[in-house]
Amino acid sequence: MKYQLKFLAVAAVVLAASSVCAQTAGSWMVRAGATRVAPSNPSGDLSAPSFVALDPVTGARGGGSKTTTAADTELGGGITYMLTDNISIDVPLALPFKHKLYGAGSIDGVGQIGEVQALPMTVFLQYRFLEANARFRPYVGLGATYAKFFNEQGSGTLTAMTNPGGPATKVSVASKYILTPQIGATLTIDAHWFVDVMYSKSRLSTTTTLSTGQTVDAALDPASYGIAVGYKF
Amino acid sequence: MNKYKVLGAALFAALLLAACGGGGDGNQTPRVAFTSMVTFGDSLSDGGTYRVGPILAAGGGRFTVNPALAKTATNWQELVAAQLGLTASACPARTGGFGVAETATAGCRNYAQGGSRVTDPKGVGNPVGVGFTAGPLTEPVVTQIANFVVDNGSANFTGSELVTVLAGANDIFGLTDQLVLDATAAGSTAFAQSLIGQLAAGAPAANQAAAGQAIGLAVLTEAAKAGSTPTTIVTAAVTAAATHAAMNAYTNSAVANAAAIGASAGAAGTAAGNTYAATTGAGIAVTGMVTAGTTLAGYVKDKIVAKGAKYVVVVNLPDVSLTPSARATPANQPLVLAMTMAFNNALQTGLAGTAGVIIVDAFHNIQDEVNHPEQYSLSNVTGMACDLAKVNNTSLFCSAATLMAGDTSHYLFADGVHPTPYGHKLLSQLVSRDLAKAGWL
Repeated sequence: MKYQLKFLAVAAVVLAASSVCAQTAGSWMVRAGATRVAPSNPSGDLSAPSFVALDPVTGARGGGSKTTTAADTELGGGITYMLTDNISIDVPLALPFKHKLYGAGSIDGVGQIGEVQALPMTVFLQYRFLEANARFRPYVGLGATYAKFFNEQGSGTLTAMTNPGGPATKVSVASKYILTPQIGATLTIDAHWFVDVMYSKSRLSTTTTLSTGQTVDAALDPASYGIAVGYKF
Repeated sequence: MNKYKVLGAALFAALLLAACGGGGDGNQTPRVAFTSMVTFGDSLSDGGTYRVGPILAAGGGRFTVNPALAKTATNWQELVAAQLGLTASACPARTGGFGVAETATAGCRNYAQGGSRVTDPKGVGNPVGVGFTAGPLTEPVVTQIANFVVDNGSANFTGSELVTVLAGANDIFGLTDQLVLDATAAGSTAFAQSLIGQLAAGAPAANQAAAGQAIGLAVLTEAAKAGSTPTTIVTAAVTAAATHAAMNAYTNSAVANAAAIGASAGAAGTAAGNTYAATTGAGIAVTGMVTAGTTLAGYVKDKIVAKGAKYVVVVNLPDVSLTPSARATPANQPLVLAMTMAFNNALQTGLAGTAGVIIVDAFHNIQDEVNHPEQYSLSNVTGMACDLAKVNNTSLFCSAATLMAGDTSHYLFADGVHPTPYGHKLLSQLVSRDLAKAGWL
């Protein structure tokens, strides 16, 4: 977020009066760069049976079994089509994000307990400010996202804490449809090339189910940061 | 046209990425490559030392609800071993007892035996000590370690063993048994003194000393007889008082009040016994647990860690005062709790800062299990899953055939002191968590 604002500020300063490039109706743009998805942490408490942190001296109860979902950065980009000079449709593309799951709360310190891959599939409707030929164009967007979770894997540590000596504990994260609000900006470099920066923050609550029967709710509310170099046709 | 192709290709790519699904098992390999598990302790870790003779015939062998197949990992230590791939070594190193000679099993490294104490070979159910095979062997932890040294061919560990230690509960039982004996003796002495004093006081002053001696002799003689009771002792004392009065031609005024004097002496004895139990006796019992805890910590440091073991899991004593057995006598629960805590504190202090040792806090966790059973999916934390009438009062003989009616699968206790397989599973999860925190799993 901080980085994002700084970038916008710098971009504003270098804003030039004229531009040879125009994001006019009917133009196509593609971009490629990096996208980082950072979920909020930690999760809620794992349902019973599960651990509660206990003070070693007094036995006082602390937190339950929680998880933290690590951020991941992948190759990302997207395709944009200008419906009008100001309204665009944008489809971000990225490699699947691999989020490592770690223990927290009463299982803080146990290390990695699993991994899940996430593929947020979004179609944004965007409004781009200023003139089509402006060198610097901030935009806002609202996307319909299907947050697809797949290839979930538990670790031996997870199995040991839930079903020691038994079959490996499997993890299943429910995929969700959500809305994704977005802000961003493009900075034109020349007639074809531009730089795009983007930030979005979604409300995403999902339930993870273990094959041992427990569930854990998490408000992942991921923040997404993207920076890409684009090409306008 | 060309532009739409681009969009189409992009969407297709997204769908392709979305199509790859299906979770896997992930990496199940422990972080430390252990080569074996070595276990010292008591019934809570016993993998079937006594699965011989009548116990084998009854389908028993472990101190829990025994599985249909003896090889099924059931107790906490076996479950952890199964998770770590160490099942081959997590089997009883010694079997025997209950009329069967003790034998060693090559390759097995679970030395824990039901009834074992830390140092005292006279464990629970073993009145003889070393070499006893008529009942439980109860080789104490110190002997278990010595047996490991014999089997291992050396006192030295390789450093790749996972060593587990859980003992001390039988020291509580042994010390409380001793406390009862001592309190009874204190009560008996006070009872006799009161009885003799009151009866002798009924004699004329000149005869009191001699009467007291005669009555005292009669009390001692009667008390020494098998089957003597306070009533028979009172009768013998009164008889002696009357006889001494008749032989010495005086009247003992107390003889007529024999019933009241007997009751008074009985009350004095009870009070003295209770006082002893609450003060001197309780002090001795708690001190005994401090000694046991300190001693066990010493064994871990000197005989295990100092001999090269790098991965030692010491489980502290669960809160024994919350067991059905302790609950049966609420007045004694505070002492049992004090003894448990004294042991755990001594163990903790003794092991503080010892590299390669982690202490698993079973004490507070079992308290939390009892106070918040829903957190652990426990259905019953006070009752017993086994029908004690069918299993000689111990889960050692318990199996699916001898359970109480209803669903006992999520009971905490199998019998008066031992957990069910589910209770064991909870403990194994706790141990696993702490192994993971230590970076060992």
